[in-house]
Amino acid sequence: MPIPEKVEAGESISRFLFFTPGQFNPRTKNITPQAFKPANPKPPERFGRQSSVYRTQNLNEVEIWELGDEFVAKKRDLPILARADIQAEKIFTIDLEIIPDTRPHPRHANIVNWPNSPEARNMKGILLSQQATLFVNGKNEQSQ
Amino acid sequence: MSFALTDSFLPFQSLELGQSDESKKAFEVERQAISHAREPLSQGGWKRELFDNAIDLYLKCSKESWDGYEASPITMKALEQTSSLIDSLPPWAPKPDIIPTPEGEISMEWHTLSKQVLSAYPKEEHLIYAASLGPMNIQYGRFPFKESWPEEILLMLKKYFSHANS
Repeated sequence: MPIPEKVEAGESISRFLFFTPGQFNPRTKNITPQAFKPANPKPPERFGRQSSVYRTQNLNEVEIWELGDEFVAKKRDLPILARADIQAEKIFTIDLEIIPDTRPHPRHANIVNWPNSPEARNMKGILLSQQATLFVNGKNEQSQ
Repeated sequence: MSFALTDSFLPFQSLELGQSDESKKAFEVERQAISHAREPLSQGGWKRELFDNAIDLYLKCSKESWDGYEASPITMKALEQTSSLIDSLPPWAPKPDIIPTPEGEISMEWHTLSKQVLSAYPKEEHLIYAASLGPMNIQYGRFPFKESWPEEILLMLKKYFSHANS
């Protein structure tokens, strides 16, 4: 099934996670406020703040992890330890946007429109972490 | 990896200060770890564990993109500022989680079972904080960094987070 050009409110959005305790706590299953936050801009390669995510609507569990392994983990040479899933609407509600960026995959997108002030970014990081659901990658659980 | 060192770890103390930035940085981390290890346990408690966690994070997150998403390396300044905040936590305070941020700082975070969250970290000359305390109660802002905790944050910890991270 083709994915719509524009991200719709009901879509499921996944952020693949590589680092604990920085992004999640496997014991408490908490996603940390840092999990969705973007890195600092790094001109000239990256002028704005953006968080890389995948649009995983209509994919089953196996397909989601395969997408992560093939298009996210391989490039980084890191095992995916978990993922945080959140409905697009929860992202839009706090004035962030999701812009499709079809490289390296048609389902890839970026969360953008992060505020300039670090305290406001931290607040949005908290709100996203509270609304997201953690899925631990059973395949790489021993790495945690 | 843990840096809860003892005096028997003498080879560590014989390191000499090299000339490169990298070796100066490494020497400083080691100097702090040794000095920290010599403190009596009675003055440490869980603060020692937190300091060890902060050093571990500094070492694990000292390279670009440690999170897989181009995160900035944790800086020595972040480690130093975090250490002084750990030192100045009052004895009654709940123990925070020590979490690296993608912007190169170290955040102290408290979570409750009812999903209240407080995250605070030093950034340059400020203490940045954000808290979600209830459905209609979110607070965020900054204070000048003073190597001690602002009264407002301590009040928040006392009121909302006395059973955090347990």
